[in-house]
Amino acid sequence: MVRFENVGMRYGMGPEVLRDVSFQLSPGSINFLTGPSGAGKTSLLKLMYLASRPSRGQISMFGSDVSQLGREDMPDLRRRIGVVFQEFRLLDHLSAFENVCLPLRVATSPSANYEADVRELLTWVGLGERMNATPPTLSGGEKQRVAIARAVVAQPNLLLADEPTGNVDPEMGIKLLRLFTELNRMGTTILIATHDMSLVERTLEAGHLHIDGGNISTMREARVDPRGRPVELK
Amino acid sequence: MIARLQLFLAQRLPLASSVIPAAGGARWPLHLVIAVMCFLASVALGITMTVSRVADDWSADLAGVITVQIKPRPDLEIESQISEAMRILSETPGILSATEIPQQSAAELLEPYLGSVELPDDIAVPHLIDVRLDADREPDLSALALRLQDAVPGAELDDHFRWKSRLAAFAGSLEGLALAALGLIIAATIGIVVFATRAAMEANREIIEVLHLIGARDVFIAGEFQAQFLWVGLRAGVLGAVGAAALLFALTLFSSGRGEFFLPGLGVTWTTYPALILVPLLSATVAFLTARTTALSVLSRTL
Repeated sequence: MVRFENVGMRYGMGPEVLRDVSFQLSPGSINFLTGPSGAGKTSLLKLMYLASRPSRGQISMFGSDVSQLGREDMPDLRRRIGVVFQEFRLLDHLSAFENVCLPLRVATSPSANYEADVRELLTWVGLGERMNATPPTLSGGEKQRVAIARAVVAQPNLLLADEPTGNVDPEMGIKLLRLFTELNRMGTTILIATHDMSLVERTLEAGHLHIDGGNISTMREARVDPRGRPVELK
Repeated sequence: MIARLQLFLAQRLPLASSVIPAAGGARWPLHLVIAVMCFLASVALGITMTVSRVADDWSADLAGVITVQIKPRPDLEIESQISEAMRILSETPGILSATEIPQQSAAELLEPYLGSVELPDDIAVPHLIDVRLDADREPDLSALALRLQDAVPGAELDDHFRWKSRLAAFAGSLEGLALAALGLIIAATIGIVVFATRAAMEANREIIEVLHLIGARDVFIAGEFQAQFLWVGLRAGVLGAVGAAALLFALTLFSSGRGEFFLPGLGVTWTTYPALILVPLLSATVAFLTARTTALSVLSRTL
């Protein structure tokens, strides 16, 4: 699914923020990425959601060597990846509903095909009454749920979430994690960057990657049930 | 009421919003500049069409008509000169009619230059014969001119060729100038739209990046900009064309009845106004294509 081999990354002429990063995510797995602030979590995620290119090393996504891909190949690859950005990155002039529809809209699906699904998803994350509200009028937790809904609405093959439960109460955090596991049950590989170690400890089936000082280490391998059974939440 | 309508539309047409926000008030200067360009283009188009029509009218008035001018000679009777000239003209095939213009009318032709004073008898005002030609079998005018000169001392044939060619050259020059002005206006409009598109893309860089990251292709993003500029071009084009039409109409009213002497009126005819519809359509097309090309060019430099 995702394979990094000796990947290094630097911004401009600055020092390397990632050094010799090697790991892989198995298809259908749930994984956590932990590490202190400034350790390189967001840089690693940027490489995975194709917002940056590595300075060295090889990245393979869905069986394709990313360095060999041209610009015209990127949209198809990106449509297979759902991203929950730490700072949400919602479009302020669009409603919550329109924000969630965006991945489907850019894929030029007729709106009639997904409107009901989007409404159902927004209702499920507790925003049924806030569908027509724009992000500036939403609370931090509500924005986060819209961002998560936007990331999962197209049922991506890979979901990357940067601190997805950072702005919600524990109860909503558990609910959102259940949404991720539901998605995982349908075959989506998930990587969640978090500071919340309780999440990591609660999900024993999940893999655990730890990054510090630009170096990554695998703390625990993900277990993938070949029958597609969802991982258990404790 | 409007708020309720907006809510109704938001519920019924949830995807009606543009993914790229319109710049709102910041777009008004752009509308204004393009509207001014379209106004100038419309005026240039109106003037070109008017000059072309007037030149055609003048040429049509002179087509099939020649004038024989006979200068009085002290040693000859003017009446015998005229009757000899009329005889030659009547014998020439391809001439429909030959009519002597009364001296009173000839004097009227000189009135704009000399005023309405009585002309002294010693001024030898040429006598004129208006000759109408058969368009299907025009006579050999060079041969006719030579025959008249031989038979009637002081006779000259004027086929108005010099006048018509100078008129055509004048009309051609004006049309060329107007076309050059149109070209410059289009070039300036393209420059304005390129600048505005780049500014809009810079202002929406964050949104463009998000769209790329969720899988939008360049043509989708460029489509958002081209749609916005299409409407800017159309709205500004309509404003400019309407303004120009009002100006041309006012000029027509002002110039009506001023087509004095042998010059026809310079007013714009009704057939010119429908042609002004081309200006907003051209403006919208130029804005659409320029925004698309610019956006795709800028996007091609991103990851």
